[in-house]
Amino acid sequence: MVRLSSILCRSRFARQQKQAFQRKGVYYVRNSPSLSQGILQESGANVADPRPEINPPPPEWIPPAEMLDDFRINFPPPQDHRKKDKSIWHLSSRISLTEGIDQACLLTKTQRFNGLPPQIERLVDKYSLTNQDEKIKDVIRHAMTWNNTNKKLPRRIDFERPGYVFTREYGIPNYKSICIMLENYIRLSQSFGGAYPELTASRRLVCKPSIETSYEYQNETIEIRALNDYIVNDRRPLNPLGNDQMIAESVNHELLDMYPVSPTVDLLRTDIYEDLNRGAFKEMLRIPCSHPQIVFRINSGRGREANQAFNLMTTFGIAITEARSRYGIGMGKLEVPVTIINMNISFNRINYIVFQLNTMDFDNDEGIKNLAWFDSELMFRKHPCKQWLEADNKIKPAVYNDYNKKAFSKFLALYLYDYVN
Amino acid sequence: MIRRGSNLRKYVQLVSQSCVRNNQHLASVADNSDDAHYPKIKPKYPPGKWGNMDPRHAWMWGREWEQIAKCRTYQEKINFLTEHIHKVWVYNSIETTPNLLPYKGGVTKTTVKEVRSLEADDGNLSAWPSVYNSVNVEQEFERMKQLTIEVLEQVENMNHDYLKRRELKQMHNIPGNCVIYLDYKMSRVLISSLLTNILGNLGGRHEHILNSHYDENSTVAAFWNKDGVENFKMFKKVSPAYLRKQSATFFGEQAVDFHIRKDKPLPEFASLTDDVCCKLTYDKSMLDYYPGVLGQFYDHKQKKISQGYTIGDPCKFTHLNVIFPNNKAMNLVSRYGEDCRLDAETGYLLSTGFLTTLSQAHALGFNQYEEITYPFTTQTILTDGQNFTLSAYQLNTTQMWKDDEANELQNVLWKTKSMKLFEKYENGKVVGFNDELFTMLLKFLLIEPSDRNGIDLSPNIDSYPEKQEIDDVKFDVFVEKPIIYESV
Repeated sequence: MVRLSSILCRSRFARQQKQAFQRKGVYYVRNSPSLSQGILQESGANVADPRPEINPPPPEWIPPAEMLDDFRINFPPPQDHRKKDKSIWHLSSRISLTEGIDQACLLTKTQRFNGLPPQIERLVDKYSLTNQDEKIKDVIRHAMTWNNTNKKLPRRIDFERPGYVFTREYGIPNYKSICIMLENYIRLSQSFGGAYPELTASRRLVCKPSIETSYEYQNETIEIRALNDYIVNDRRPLNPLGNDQMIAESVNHELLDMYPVSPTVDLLRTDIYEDLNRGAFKEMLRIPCSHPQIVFRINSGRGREANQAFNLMTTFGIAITEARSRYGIGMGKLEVPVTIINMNISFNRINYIVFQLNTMDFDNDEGIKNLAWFDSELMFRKHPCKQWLEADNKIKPAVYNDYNKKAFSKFLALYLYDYVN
Repeated sequence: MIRRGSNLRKYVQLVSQSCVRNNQHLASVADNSDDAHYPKIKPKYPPGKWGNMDPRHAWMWGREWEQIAKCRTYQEKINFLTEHIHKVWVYNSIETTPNLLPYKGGVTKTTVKEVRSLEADDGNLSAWPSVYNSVNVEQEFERMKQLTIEVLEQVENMNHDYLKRRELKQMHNIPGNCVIYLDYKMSRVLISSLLTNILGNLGGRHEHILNSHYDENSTVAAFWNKDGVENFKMFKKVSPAYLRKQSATFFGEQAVDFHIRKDKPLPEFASLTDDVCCKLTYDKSMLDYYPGVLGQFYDHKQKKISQGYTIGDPCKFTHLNVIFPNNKAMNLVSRYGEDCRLDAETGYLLSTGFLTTLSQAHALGFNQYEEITYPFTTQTILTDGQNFTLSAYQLNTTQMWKDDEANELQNVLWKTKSMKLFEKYENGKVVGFNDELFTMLLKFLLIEPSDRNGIDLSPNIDSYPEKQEIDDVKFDVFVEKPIIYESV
């Protein structure tokens, strides 16, 4: 119920006033002749209109000669009028090769071997740290539980229970865990410098080096761009693993035949303005430790085959830049092959690649081939909590088991190759 | 008529009590002892030193002290301390308001010692801690120097276009100079290259470096109470049971860029009986001001303790922190002038050292109720890749809520001036390498932790959670039974 007050009872004239103004409020001054004006004209007086002097009109706006760029407006990018050199095939970390390692071997003219070379297999389990297993398990615990990073993790999907909605989890992201494991593995491997001083006398670890290079494959240019996590450099290169007999026998090896599909089907077509041949360093020979030996990379979330294929291409790019710095451009068969080791880590798996560049002739698929050995080991298994089975529906810590000591033993053997007997 | 029930019960109680009293009286008369006549009188203060504190506040602290002393595991203590949401003053690592270094030192009860030279103790209170005299770096110096120079040259000659490309993508629509972020990334790449190479090299010959844990971007957080700071204004009526505390609560949180931890603590830089720890010389001039007047903000927060790792890690003691000055807050402060920037850098070193040691102390069972039994020490380096400022911090007390009369200990920060590791790059080569500074950096890395003469490092905690087991991989082995054929 509304209380009656004087404000409620007052009369309202607002609408009537508005309507009255619309009808009668506007007075038009027309230049119609009036009696007084006529009388003044007859008498010869000058009649002037005072309105322009009382209310002069605003000046006309002239835009300034130079306008500042308005950051609120999206301007289109300036057109690049440089002469395009050519269009090339581009390989980057976003691309996945359909045929996997075989396609990468076709693009790099490589013969594939499964397992590590015999010279490195002999070093596995021959050298080890004191309490090695306990130290590696501590590394895994450090990466998975002891680090106090508390970031929002992506919502989990478990195929055992497809529709189940897990509660939001906070913890260590996978990428951070892998970084911690890789750093610790490298530091533990470097500790052998106490027993073998040559390991640390001239070897240097470079953080986050990038590779940008290109090469001619059957009259087409392929550009390789990759950002690596670490590269181990030294004053001298690694000794080749494949002997002359293996290189000679590689002539008979047949590469994958993808006809009628082109091997460059998965690569992106881009335009470039300059040829790139940039290794990790601007001028390789000026720096003392500039021969790359080992490449470490952290993989993004792809399958094992796709990761190995991309890592083979990046290792190949590094080998090409090293070969060009030694022998120049236009070389066919190399006098001394270039050997590069690649170790790439996914969440709980290490993949190993040993690549030997024997030839820079990619005009056809015949002739001697490059050599590559592939291997892989699972480090451990992680069993996350099955929340739907818990009585209070709360998430409990994950369980880790199936620790595989061979993973680090192979890592160490590859690190120590060519520096120990 | 007496109602049965409660009245009868009360009557019976009164009678029984008087009987007991009479009996006690009779017993005491027989024994000639006076104690039974009077109940125990509560003393003015609980056991311990309380200075000029209000007795009601002292008894409140004492009661909470007894409760937390009953908790014998880390988790129980932390749950007791961080149970409720409180109104706290936020303690910033880098103060964007200038001239607040005395405030930062006063609130953390820290005195700042500016060290002019890296030469050690000559009886001067402002000299660098003498512990570093005993660290021998002669064997490693030449090799590490050559390695450092080569790493510096490599990083300079490396292709950093990917950093600049990402930089442009992030900052293209904001006008102005965005060099600060690029500088930070370049410094980070340089320092991580140096640390990975040097630590890897030294790990082969020094067991304590091999077994240390190395983290990046770890968060440290701690809270504490400080006496003498004006507390929040209370506008609503409070019950007599809830007393307004004399001391104000502060909370600090910070990310340390590089964090090295070991399983034993660093040796103490100064004894607790030394003048630098006992003679209170920390600056109290700004404690009279209400913190809001000094540009400080408060917040309702759940108290948090974070020591840079989760419990279970055997490496509990901080050995070395590395922090970078090229960030937005430091850039803002540097607009006030060079002096303000230097003060802000000192404050940054102070807060890093204080927060890491205080959170470390909490992880070992100490807190503001249970005082530390040995000083906690840490080292901090502030660098942008070329300019280095070294500091050493010693935490002597966690009971900062007691006044100076009750608690005569103070915390100490030793700090050097900013020094260049090398002058410049010329044609890709390092020019003007500073041997003296590099010797000190090596000492920072090579100083061995000590077990502090065998004392119990965590006397208030009975046991820590055990390490999570990781079982070895199992292989299935099939044993086939031999087939025996029956003769036909």
